[in-house]
Amino acid sequence: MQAEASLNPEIYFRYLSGKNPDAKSVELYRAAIKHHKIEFSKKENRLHNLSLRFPFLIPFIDGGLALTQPLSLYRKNIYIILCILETCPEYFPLLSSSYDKKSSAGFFKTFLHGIRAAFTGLFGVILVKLI
Amino acid sequence: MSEVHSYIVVGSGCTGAMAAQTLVEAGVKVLMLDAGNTNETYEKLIPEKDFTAIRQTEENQSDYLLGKKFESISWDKIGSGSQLTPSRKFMLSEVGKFLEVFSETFFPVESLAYGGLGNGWGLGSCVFSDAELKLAGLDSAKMKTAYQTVADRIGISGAQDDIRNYTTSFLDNIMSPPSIDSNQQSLRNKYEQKNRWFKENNFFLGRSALALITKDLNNRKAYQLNDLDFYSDKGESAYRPWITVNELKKKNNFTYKGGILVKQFKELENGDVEIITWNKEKNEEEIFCTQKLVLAPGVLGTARIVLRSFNKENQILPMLCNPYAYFPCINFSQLGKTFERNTLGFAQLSLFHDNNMQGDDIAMASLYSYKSLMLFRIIKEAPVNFRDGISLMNFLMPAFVIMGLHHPEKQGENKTLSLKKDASKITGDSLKAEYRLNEKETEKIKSRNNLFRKAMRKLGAVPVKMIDPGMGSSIHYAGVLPFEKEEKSFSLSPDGRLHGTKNIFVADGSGFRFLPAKGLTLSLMANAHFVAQNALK
Ligand SMILES: Cc1cc2nc3c(=O)[nH]c(=O)nc-3n(C[C@H](O)[C@H](O)[C@H](O)COP(=O)(O)OP(=O)(O)OC[C@H]3O[C@@H](n4cnc5c(N)ncnc54)[C@H](O)[C@@H]3O)c2cc1C
Repeated sequence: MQAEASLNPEIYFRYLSGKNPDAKSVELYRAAIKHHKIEFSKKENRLHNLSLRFPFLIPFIDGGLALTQPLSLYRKNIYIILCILETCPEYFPLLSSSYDKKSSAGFFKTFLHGIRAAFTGLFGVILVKLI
Repeated sequence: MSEVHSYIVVGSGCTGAMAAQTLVEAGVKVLMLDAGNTNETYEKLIPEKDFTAIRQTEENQSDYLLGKKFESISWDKIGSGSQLTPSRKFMLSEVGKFLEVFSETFFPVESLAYGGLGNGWGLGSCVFSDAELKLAGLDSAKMKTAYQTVADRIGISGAQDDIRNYTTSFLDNIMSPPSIDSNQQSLRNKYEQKNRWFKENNFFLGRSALALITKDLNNRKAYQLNDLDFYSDKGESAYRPWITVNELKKKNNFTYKGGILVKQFKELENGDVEIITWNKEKNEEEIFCTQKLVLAPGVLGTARIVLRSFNKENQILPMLCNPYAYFPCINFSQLGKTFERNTLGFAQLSLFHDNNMQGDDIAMASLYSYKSLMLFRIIKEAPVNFRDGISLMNFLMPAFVIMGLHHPEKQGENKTLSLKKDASKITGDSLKAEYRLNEKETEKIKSRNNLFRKAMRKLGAVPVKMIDPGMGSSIHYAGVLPFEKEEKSFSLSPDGRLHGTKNIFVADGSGFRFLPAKGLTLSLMANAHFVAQNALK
């Protein structure tokens, strides 16, 4: 079981937004998990600890679980952060790019993200199985 | 117990509100008893801005977009009522405590709120065809007059297009629809281009008829596109039953009493009706007496009250619920397009399939653009990591069309309700439900789903997934006390009187013997008006 204080939301905020979270977002996160208890299983704990040591593995773990165990609590923890980011004005540009005019570079970037998502997912399935 | 009231109406939902209005307008004295939960916290918090401006500027938006208890964050599979936002979710409060349903096959959404399920309904409003009315056991001529009365009261917008026969048909005073976004307009263009295929296959597409006013009506304001359809009722352009009850409260011959859970009734020898209730605030039993009782607590609520009153624990009642599924689709012509700032959150288009062109086997899909329900709900459904999900879904969102498909529903063997003893409940019982479609019905639904998938592809929108939230998720329920001309226990006379009683009427959908795929609520309200007229006789 993982105590709330040690869930280290900062690394997942950085994973989703590329930035360190501000104090308000972290405060919202702490309030949210009071209502949505996150109690990691042993395996989820191992995945979380691995993420702390090697944050570059987070998309692989997340993607692997999205394919094999989409409702895992490891993902729920990230999902809560996503919900909070979407309701913070400073992250509006990140989560609302559908409001922007699209350029061909934008198309290309999305295409690359699609390919990246597929690869991280496939590699992630193996990684999650091994851990 | 002291006073004998003239009329007591139970419930303040769409049907209770309409029945009460008819009675009050006729000049009789009416007492409305209602569980009546309210929560105005969120409505007060939402600022006078449109959705985009809120998202860009408001520091405390998570309070009402996610909820003070983060109730919008759901980590379950999509189920009945999961689309409800924090400002609508209050309508489900206390349901687990007072209205528990035990079932492995049926997951209903019920309400003990002031205004009932009408606090969150999608406003889709269609009249039933003559054939559908007949199958439901409703009188076509009388319902037509009642439909017009209700339409004039609540205000309906729609268009004079290919689906008019299925939506507003003979109704007058229909307002023009709100503007359509480019995503949905492109579907309409494809429909025009491929009109021959659609006609040959008995498909018809057009603007949805909605209980949404686009011109001022009484104290209500014409609809303003602000993208807050799922969050706020500012201006009251969307019809909600509490609008009617708030107006009735201003009349001398109407009294509203909330916080009252009706448990059962007893018709006395002199014809008066005793109503045994639970006062939720005082935590004690309270008894009321009336000359005529009009029940409108929603069909599952009526089933509970009637079974309890006749003390029939093992009695099995039939029920009806439309099979329902969502199909997220991608409209390829919109890929990479930019979001329009404000769009209509309710259904913009409806697609009807009139199987044999006889009007008795019609399936209906409502088509929505996806925007103000936020990105996070839809990212959760994608089988990719969240970080890439953000950019992929941002790209896809302007091209999303969500098709919500309802199928018509007939009575059947394994579609039943009964009461079981449950000492843990204040009412002393819980509802037990079973809802299984037979093989033939399942097959028919499957092949019709495929037909609709094909029709969507013809419109340029490719379905990527089917989400089946399970039986009960359509939130369209009926048929627990089917209409019968002859006196028969556990049924209603065609005028809405409970057989075996003199002065007890049922104004909700309990009598409907068939459930067309079109939203039933306009018909529920028209029937409630008709039943109230009969109760006046
Ligand atoms: C999200 C959503 C979208 C929908 N969209 C559509 C749509 O587009 N088109 C459509 O046609 N329909 C739609 N519906 C369905 C529609 O809301 C219902 O058909 C309609 O509101 C039912 O009204 P009712 O008066 O029969 O019952 P309810 O709305 O259930 O009202 C029951 C009332 O009775 C009270 N009550 C219940 N039990 C008791 C008791 N024991 N004692 C005292 N009071 C009691 C409750 O407080 C409530 O006021 C939708 C519903 C939802 C939730």
